[in-house]
Amino acid sequence: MTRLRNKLIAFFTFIGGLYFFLEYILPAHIGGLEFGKYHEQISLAVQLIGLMAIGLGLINIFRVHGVRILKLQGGWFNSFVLLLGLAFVLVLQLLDFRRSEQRSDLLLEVKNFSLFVNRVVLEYEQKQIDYRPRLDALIDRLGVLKTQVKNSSSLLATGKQLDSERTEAQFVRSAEGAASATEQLKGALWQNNYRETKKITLDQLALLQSVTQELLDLNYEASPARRWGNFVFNGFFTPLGSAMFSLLAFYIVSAAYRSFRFRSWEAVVLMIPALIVMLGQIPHGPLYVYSGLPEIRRWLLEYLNTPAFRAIFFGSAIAGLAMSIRIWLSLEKSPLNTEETKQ
Amino acid sequence: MEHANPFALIFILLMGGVLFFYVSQARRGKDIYVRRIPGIDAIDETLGRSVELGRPIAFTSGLISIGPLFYACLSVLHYVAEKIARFSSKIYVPCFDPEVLVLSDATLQSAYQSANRLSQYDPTDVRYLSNNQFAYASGYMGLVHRENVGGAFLFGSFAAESLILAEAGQQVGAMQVAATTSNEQIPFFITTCDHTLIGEELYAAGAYLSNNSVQRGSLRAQDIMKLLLVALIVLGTIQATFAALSASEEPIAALKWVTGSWSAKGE
Repeated sequence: MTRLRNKLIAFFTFIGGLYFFLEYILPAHIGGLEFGKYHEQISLAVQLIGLMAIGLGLINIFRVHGVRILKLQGGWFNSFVLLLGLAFVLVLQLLDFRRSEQRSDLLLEVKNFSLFVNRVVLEYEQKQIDYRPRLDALIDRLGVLKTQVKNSSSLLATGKQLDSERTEAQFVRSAEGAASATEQLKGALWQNNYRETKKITLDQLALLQSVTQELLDLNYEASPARRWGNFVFNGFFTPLGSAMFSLLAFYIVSAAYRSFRFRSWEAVVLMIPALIVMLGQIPHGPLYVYSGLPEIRRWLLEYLNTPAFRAIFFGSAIAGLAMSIRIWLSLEKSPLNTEETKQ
Repeated sequence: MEHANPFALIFILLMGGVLFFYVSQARRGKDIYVRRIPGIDAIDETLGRSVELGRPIAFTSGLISIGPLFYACLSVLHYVAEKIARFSSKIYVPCFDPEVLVLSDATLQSAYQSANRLSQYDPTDVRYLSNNQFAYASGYMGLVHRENVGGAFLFGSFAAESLILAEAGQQVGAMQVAATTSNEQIPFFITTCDHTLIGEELYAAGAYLSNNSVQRGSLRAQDIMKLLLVALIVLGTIQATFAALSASEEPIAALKWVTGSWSAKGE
C-alpha cells in the first residue's frame, strides 16, 4: 500500500511538474494552440488543495492547546485564552461573512431591476407579453424594500448616524422615484410612446442602485460583527504585532554589540565598513567627521555589498533549480517517504 | 503570464543534462568530494549538547512555504529528528504555514520510524503557530522560553522576524545553527547564531548529512552550472565594456541573446 502511495505521489508530481514546466517554457501561442489557456483555473485548483491544510492547522491548535487545558499543564490558562480568542474571532468572521452575503444578495437584486425593465419592454415588443403584472410586481418590490429600510434600526446604532439617516432618506426617495417612473412607464407603454419614459425609469433605477450600494456599505460597517472585528484587529492584533516589531530595535543593538567587539581580525574588518556605513547614513557623520562619508558608504554598498549578495543569490537560484528537477523527477529519497527509509 | 525565453529553456535543459550526468556518475560509485562546512558539522554538536543537557531542540523554517527550499529543509529536519528519536530526546517544530505543518509532521513520523522509535512520536511536537509574521515570532519566542530549548535550528526563509527568533534562542543559552537564502537576514544570523549556513549551503546540507549519491551528484552539477553563469557574466562584462567604449547604442549581443524572446514581437 505504501509503495503504491509513493508511486502515485511520484506520478502526480511528475505530471504536475510537466504541466508547469511546459506552461513556462513554451510560448503563449504555438500555431493555433494556446497552452496556458486554463492556467489560472489550474493554479487556483492547486491553491485550493493547499487551503485544505488550514483545517489541519486548526486541528493541530486544538490538539496542542486542548490537551494542555484538559490536563491543566503549565500555561493552560494561556492556552485557554488562545482558544477562546480563536473561537471568538471565528464566530465574528462567520457573522461578518453572513452579513456580507446578505449585502451582496440585495445589491444583486437592485442591479437586476434595470435588466428586468429592459427585458419586460423587449418581450412586450417582440412577443407581446403583458408588461402590466410584471411592472406591478417591480413597483410592489420597491415598496417592500422602502418599508424595510424605513423600519431598519441597525443603521441608527452607528457612529455615522447622520450619514446613515441621510443615505436612508436618499434611498426612500430613490425607491419612490423609481416606483413612480415605473408607473409612468406602464402608461407610456399603453400609449406606445415609451422611449423617453423608459430612459427615465432606467436612470432612476441606476440612482437607486448607487444609493443602495452606499447604504449597504454604511450598514455593513455599522454591523456589530464588523465593529467587533475592527476592534479586535485594530485594537489588539495590530498593536501587538507592532510591539513585537519594535523589539527588533533593542535586539539589533544587542546583536551589534556582540559582533562589533574587537575579538578577532574578522570582527575588525566587519566593524570598520559598518562604522563608515552608519556614519555615512546619519547626518552627523558628514557634518562633523568627513563630508565624503556618504559617497564612501554608497561605494561600499554598491560595489562590495551588492556583488556579494548577487553571488549568494546566483548560488541559491541554481541550487533551487537543481532541487526542483530532483523533486520533479523523484530522483532522490524523499524525507517524507516512510518505505524507503531504513528500518 | 510570464514565459521563458529560448535562453531559459536552453539553461534548464542544460542543467538537467549536467545533473543527470553527474547523478549517474555518483550512482555508479564515483566519489564526489564535498568540502566540509563547519555549520553542517555543528548540527551534530548542537544535537549532542542538547541531549547531554537534557533539553529539547527547536527546528523552525521561518516563513517558508512549499517549494524547493522547504524540501531542502525537510532533509535536515529528517536527519535531526532521527537523531533526536535515537537519543530519546524531544524536538519541537513550530510552523508558519499549514501546508508546511502537514509535511513537517510527515517528515517527523518518517524520521521516528527510521529510528525504530515510532511509539515515541508525539504529533503535538509539530505545532502550527500562526501565519502572521510577528504572531509567529511571538509564539516561537514563547515556546523557546517555556520549553527551555538547548539547541535551535533556523533553516529556511526568514524576514524581519529573524533576529527575534535568533535572540530568543540566545536568551535561553541555546546553541543555534541557522541557514537561509534570505540575503538580508544573513547578517542577523551571523551575529546571533553560533553557526550560519549561507545561501546554497542550505541545499548542500542535505547531501552532506545523508551522503546520498543523487544529492552529491547534484552538487557537482550545480558547481558546473555556476561556472557557466560566471563565464556568461564575464562575457557580458567584456561586451558591455566594449559597447561603452565604442559609444554604441545597439544592445550588446550577449544581452540580446539572454533576454531575447521567442518571437520578435516579444510574445
